[in-house]
Amino acid sequence: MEMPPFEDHVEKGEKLWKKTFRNGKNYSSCFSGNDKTIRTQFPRWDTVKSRVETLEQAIIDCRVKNGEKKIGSGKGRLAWISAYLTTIAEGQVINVIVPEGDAKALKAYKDGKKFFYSKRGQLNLSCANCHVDYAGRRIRGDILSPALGHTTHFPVWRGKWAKSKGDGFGTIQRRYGGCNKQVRAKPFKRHRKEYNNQVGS
Amino acid sequence: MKKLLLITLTAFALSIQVDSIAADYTYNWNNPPSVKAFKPKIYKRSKVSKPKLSRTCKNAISAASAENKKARKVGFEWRDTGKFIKQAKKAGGKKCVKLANMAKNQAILAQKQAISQINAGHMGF
Repeated sequence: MEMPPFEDHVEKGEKLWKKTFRNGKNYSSCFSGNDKTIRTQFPRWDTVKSRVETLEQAIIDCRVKNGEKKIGSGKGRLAWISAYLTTIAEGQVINVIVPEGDAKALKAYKDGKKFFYSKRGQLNLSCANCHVDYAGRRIRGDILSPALGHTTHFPVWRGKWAKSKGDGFGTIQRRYGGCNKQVRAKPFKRHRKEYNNQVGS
Repeated sequence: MKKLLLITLTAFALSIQVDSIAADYTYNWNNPPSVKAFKPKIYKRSKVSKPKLSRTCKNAISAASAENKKARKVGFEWRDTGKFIKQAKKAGGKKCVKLANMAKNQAILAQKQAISQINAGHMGF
């Protein structure tokens, strides 16, 4: 692609990531390891809070912990920072581990899997219907993407999101909401267990 | 001669009337009116009264809401059900009952869908 429309915002994400908070700390202080490996740590099971933790949620939590305001839930600055971290982590493996012997973690994994295979909405379609059964085929002008790799390759830039309002960036949770709407199901709120579990599984 | 006199009088009468109208709208340069005088009047938006809902309409809405609540609880609420209920509240009359019943049917179907997807998984999709 010539002149990719998303590069500017990835660079903005880098600037935001490196910006220090009012208390002198920065985002890196909330995460362990090198900046390049942060993306590969998510999604993960948080044993303390007993929930699936996504990268975007961790960024929001980091801001709140350092006395800053929340920045959105699925687009804008939050997506830019997440996009920057994903870009610098390209080529690395993301291995989601369900801790052995943790019943809650296993339940979250199974719930996410069930959500993925459940038909919902007036059109009676599951996520798997499109992204497993018909992956690679066309749905009007678009090609249906395979489910494998969805969670590792978001946030993405979409022409549709750029057209309506905004910069075109969106996290996977934003897309989940959009997919649910398209099958005429009421979408869930972002960063709640329904979508978090699906990201984790 | 009579015609000429009539025309002259009519013209005279009209010219007097035009002068008097013009005199009312002349701008007084020595004592101009204040800016406040030109301030446009702001009319307050009158409240739109909600349509009175009939008892059958109210019953239909509450039944639809109850069914939709059940669908929401199991996580299978449909996108437009809530919209139909809202529209029914606004519409009133026969349309209200029609919309509420439509919402109720959707909510019942959503519940059935939830039951059918209890064992959703790899093999069953």
